[in-house]
Amino acid sequence: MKVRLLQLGAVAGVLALWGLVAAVGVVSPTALPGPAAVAGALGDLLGSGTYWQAVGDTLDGAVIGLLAAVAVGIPVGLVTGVYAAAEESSRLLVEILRSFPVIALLPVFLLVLGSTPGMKATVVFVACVFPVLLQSQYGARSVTPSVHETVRTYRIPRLLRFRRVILPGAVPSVMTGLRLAATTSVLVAIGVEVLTTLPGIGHMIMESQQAGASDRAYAYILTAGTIGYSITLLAQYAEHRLLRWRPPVRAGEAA
Amino acid sequence: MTRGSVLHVEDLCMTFGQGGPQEHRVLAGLSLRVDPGESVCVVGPSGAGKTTLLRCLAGLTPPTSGSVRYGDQRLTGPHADIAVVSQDYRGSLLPWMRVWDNVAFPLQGRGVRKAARKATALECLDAVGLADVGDKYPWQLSGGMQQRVAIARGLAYDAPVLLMDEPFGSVDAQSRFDLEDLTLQLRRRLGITVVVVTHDIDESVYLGDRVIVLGGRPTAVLDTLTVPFGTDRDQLTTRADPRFAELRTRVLARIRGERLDQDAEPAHN
Amino acid sequence: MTGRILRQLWLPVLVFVILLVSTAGSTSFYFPPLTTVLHTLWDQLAGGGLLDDLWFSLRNIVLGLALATVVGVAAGLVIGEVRTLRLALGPLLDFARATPTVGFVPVIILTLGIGSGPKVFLIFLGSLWPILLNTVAGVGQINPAVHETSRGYRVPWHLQLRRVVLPGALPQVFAGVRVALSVAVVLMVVSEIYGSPIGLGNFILQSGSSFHVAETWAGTLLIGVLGYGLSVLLLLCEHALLGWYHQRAPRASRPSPALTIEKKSNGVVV
Repeated sequence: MKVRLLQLGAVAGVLALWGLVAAVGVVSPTALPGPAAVAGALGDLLGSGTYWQAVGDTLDGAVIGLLAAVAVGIPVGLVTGVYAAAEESSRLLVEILRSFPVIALLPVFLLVLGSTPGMKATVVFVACVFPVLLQSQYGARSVTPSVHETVRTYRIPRLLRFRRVILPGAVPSVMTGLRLAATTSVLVAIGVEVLTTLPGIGHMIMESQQAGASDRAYAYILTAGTIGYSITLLAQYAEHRLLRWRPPVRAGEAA
Repeated sequence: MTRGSVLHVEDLCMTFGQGGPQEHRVLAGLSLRVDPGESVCVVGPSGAGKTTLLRCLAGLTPPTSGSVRYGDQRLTGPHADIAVVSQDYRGSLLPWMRVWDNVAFPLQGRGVRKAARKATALECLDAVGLADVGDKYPWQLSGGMQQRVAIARGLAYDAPVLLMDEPFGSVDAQSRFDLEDLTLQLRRRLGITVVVVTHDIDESVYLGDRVIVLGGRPTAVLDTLTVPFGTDRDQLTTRADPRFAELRTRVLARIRGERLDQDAEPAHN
Repeated sequence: MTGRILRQLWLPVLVFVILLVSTAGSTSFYFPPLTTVLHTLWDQLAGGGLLDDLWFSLRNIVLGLALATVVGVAAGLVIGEVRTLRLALGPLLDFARATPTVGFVPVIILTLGIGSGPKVFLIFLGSLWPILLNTVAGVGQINPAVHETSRGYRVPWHLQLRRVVLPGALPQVFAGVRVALSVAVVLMVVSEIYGSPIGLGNFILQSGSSFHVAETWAGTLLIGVLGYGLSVLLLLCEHALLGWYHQRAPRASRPSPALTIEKKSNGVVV
């Protein structure tokens, strides 16, 4: 309860600081409008159809790309993680591909696929598949030698081993990958929209700012933040539900 | 319960890193046998290859040469009649399964239905004195209780042979006494064959019908002692028996003697 | 050692060869032969001004990232050490990290201009949060006994921050910088594609929109090399600074567990 009050206080403090900076005029109001103006703009937007259309467009691309990445990344990651030879062979390739800034493929994708919603989902997919794959691989490898030994002595069949040993053992790590990928998916979807003519939140930010309505642009940025934050909270909740078997960790342990 | 089971080890040799620069010979021509219903303790100093021997008996590691036979079959891998309780109870229980599920898991591998699995698991948990922890997760139990769960899992597997590797090495002293008595009691009731590997001399005398003393480098069987206490033993009277002291002195002397011999004539091999 | 390198290398080499062979003599407009792309890359670097673009982009990334590291680590250490601050700011920081910084690109560039400064600022803004949050988490992961010990010996606070808290949190800090690096590269590309007269992002945009496909591929490839190169560089730094951490616990590969020598026993132990 006291913590909640503290947190509310901190939010109020940051809002006040923001208002002060905006009011004093150190920064031009087009770069940083005041919190009241942004709140007003957000209030107007919440009642408009274009706003929800933009949110829907962004989520569409992000979710489709993310689902595809999960469908490919988890099975490939688990299987290659279990077999040491597969993991070793693919390590360097995955490392190189993972560090590739996917958004740089945009001009190429624009050339090849054109400016379509499918292109947006494809870029999201490419950006998300590697974190999911790597974390799944890592999770499959995190099953301890002791557990493997037990599974051998009790002659557990291969399929059962996958379902009840490798998969649950990998869940903590896979969840981390999913959380990373979910945040990335929104980031990339908005990035694509900022740079192309595809509709969505990113496009609306650009359009608002170009029309001089920076309060509206900030309202859209706040919306993007809210989506990202909701994903974080949702992932935390899912982790909590899925990982009830783990002993409670010391406070402050989060990556 | 006893199905004419018996383990034969013949001329077992184990060499790690064979042919390499760090070739290390652990076991050199070990032979021993375990009769049905018998409790055999293998005792020896740390690093004598006790665990290696047990892994060979469990079919987890193929020996470099020599053979391990179960009845008249040669062991080539883990066998359905052999259950293993390892030293690392923390690591060998699956943390994401509830306690009963851990005990029942090997049965799932055999295709036993869930209701039947759970019933067996709870029965076995009851047998090790853990009647009401079935729905907890392993981390919620103490070390001694976790090792009981591992024993219950071995029982649920319904194997006539139970192999235990330093099973009570990392639990506190009080739980250790309790677990030793539990092992004796289970064996008396179920007639299973038990092989315990330990570095604790008292424990080996207390638990074994026979004690096999390992030692030397590479390891060989130094001595085999028959323990005359029968199947009814308890911590107070058995340990106070003068023959108990006599036996443990003999085991210790065998191990110490071998060491002194080696110290006296260094670097011959 | 050689065996391990070979086992890791064969697949990337195979993929490269397959790409080389499958695109050889390609007449497809979108997928020129790999040799042509590599040739174009070389030509552009040697005399086409691509080197200037590379320098511009690299400088922005390094500046923005360095700034974010200094500010993020300093703020993270303080927030991590002060419990009240940590509890109060937690949700706000999570919100800040969850906000996609690319959203700020139009706002910042349209108001502050297309020069280098706004880009450095954007990279700083995006990289700050992962570094800051990881530093906070790193401080939280230090064993309380370490703290107690240095308190018990009455180590002054600035010394404690520099010699105890910072090294203890360093592994986690590096994890944060690694995440920040990938964010930084993305922001570099987006801000340059959005509005810039120079830079790698601008190069691929210009060549793409004028249908110079080989140049587009070459620029994209160079950005990939830049991203990978920087991450390798970071890894080398990490290994140099964190030797103690990586040597401490080699991952158990042997089946025998770590607890082989037992002290607890109620009998004679040999």
